Amino acid sequence: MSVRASDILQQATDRFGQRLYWHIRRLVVSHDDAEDALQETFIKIFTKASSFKGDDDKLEAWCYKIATNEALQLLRRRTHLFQSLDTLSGELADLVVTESAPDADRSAVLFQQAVMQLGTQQRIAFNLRYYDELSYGQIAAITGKSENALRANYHYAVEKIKAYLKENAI
Amino acid sequence: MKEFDPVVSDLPYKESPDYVDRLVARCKAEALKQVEPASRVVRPWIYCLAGVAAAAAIALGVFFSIHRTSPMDKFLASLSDEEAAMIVDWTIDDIPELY
Repeated sequence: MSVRASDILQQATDRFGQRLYWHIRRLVVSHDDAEDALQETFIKIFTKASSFKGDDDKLEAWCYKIATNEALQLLRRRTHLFQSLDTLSGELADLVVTESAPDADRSAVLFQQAVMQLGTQQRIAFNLRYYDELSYGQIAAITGKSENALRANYHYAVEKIKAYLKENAI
Repeated sequence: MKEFDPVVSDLPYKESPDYVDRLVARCKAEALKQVEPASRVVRPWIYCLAGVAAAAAIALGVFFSIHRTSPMDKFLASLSDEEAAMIVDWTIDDIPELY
């Protein structure tokens, strides 16, 4: 077993384990799927550790990138050939209700359903900025999009969420 | 970043931080377990190849050690001490003419 790979995996789990889980969970919604994707993420972090050339600061974005890819890959398995991931919005919004705690606040459920209405790229940008509080530079490194495009994504995401909440009487 | 609407933006899921910590540890252990079998499969093959290589090296060593003995050595080894002494004492004049 490579010492470097073990070290990188150790750092990833110690420093970002919780955050990676919640990032994946917010994308796939189902807890079981999130667990599978998290495990795959750790496997990838370990097996691809030799290709990671960045310094300590870049490790976070690198781990998030792998986690995002694993979550999207898992979602892709739910779609038909050539079907966009965006078509899963309704299914994911329904899943939010199923996965929510019995005593969960209704507004919190509705907020997540509003987030699920966003397109996949917008949702990723929104989650990483809003929940994970990453900089646009970091999000650009994860998604491969320009910072300006991500700013626009975030702005439109907020507008869409507000409109959804208004429509649904909150 | 949470200034957008903190009242309604908490996640509605029930998993606690402690639970997720344990989950992360479990996923890490599982991930390592899945990575390990690959090396477990590879390792015996490496041992096998090393064993075959060692056996081949030994066989070649034995083969050459047998065939390294030249015909002259064999001939000399077959002589008695007296005969060998005679040969050592031979001079060019002692060689009989064969024709």
